[in-house]
Amino acid sequence: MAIHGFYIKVNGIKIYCETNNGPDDGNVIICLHTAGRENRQYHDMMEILQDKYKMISFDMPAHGKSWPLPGNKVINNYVDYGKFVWSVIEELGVKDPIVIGCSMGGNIVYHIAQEYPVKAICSMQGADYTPTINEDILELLNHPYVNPQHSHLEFSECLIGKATTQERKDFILWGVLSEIGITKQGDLTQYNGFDVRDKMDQIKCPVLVVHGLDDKIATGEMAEQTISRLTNCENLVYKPIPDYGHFILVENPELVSEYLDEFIRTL
Amino acid sequence: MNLYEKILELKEKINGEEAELFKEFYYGKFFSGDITLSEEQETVTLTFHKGTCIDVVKGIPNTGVDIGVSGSKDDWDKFVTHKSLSVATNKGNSNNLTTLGGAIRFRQNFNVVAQLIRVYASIR
Repeated sequence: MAIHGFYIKVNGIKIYCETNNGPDDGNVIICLHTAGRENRQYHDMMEILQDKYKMISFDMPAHGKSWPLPGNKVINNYVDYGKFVWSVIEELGVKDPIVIGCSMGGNIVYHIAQEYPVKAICSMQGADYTPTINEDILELLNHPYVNPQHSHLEFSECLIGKATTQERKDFILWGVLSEIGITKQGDLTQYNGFDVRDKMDQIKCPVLVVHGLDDKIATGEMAEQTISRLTNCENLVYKPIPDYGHFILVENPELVSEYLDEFIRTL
Repeated sequence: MNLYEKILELKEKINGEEAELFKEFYYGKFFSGDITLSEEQETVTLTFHKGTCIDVVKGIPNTGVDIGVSGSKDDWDKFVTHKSLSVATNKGNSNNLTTLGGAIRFRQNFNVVAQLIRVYASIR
C-alpha cells in the first residue's frame, strides 16, 4: 500500500493529510470527503490510481485526525469552508489543482471553481443548491440527550445504493459510528445553506459530474438541474451511475476512478 | 384488511423473524414505550417492552402519544417505494410522513421507528 499520512499546519491548525505518492507529472488531485467523515473514504481510489496520479486527501478541521478550530469550534458555512480548503492547497504548494469531492465536498468543488484558480473539478453527488436537511435534526445532532452516531445511522444507510457490497456498506456505516456530533452539525448546516446557483455560469474550467442515481436525497434530478446552470465551462462530462448511491467514491471506486482517469486524460 | 389487522401481523413479524435485526442492529432492545402509526383516519398503537411488542391497541392510548408516524395513503404509498424514514422526513422530498411525539424522544429512537415501519411496508 502506497498511502502514507502526514501533518501540515494551516492557519495554526494541525491538518492530517494522506497521499498515494503518485507520479509528479503536473496533475495533482485534491480530495474532499463527505459531511462528518474523513479522508479514509479515498483509500480505494488512491490505490487504484496510484500509478497514474498524485492524490492528496485531508481531514478538514474537527474531522478525523485534524484538530478543530480554536475553542473546539467547527466551520458551518461554505464560504469559510472553501477558504480553508484553498489555504490547505496553498500550504501543500499545489498549483492548478484538480479538486474532487463527494456530497458536501461535491458541492464545495463548485464554489471553489467559482472563486479559485483550479485546473478542473469533479463533483460526486454534488449540487449547487441543497436545502434538504430538517432544522430539528440539525439541532439534535449536538444535544446531550441524543446520540448522533445512533440517531443518524438510518440517514446514511438509506443513501447507500442497492448494488453496493456488504463490506463497503459496513465501512460507510462505521463512518457514522465514528462521527462527532458538533462536526456533523456544522457540515450539514453548511450543506443546508449551500446555494451557489447565481454563480454557476462563472465556472469556466472543465467539470466532471459523477452521480450515483440510487440516492434519494441528493438526487439525479438535482445533479441535472445543477448541470443545466453550467453554461460556460469549457468541457462538461456527466457520468450517471445506476444502482449506486450517495457514497459513490466508497461504493464503486473502480468506476469512479475509470471516469476520472478518462476525464483527466482530456485536459 | 384494516390497519389494526395489519399491525397485528406486524407484531408477529417484529417479535418473530425480524426480532434479532430490530433489537440488535436497530437498537430496539433499548426501547420501551409506544409507537403510534396512523394512515388516513385509522390509528393503531404498538406497545413495546425492551424491543418486544407486548400489546396492540386501536387509536391513541389513554396516556397520549409517545412517538409515531402518520401520513395519508399517498404518503405511505410513497414510503413503500423507498422504505426509508430519513427519506420520508427529508424536507427536500414530497409526500413526506409526519412524525408524532416529542422531537428528542423521537430522535433518540429514530432507528427503531424506521425499522418498524420498514417491516410494516413489507406487509402493507
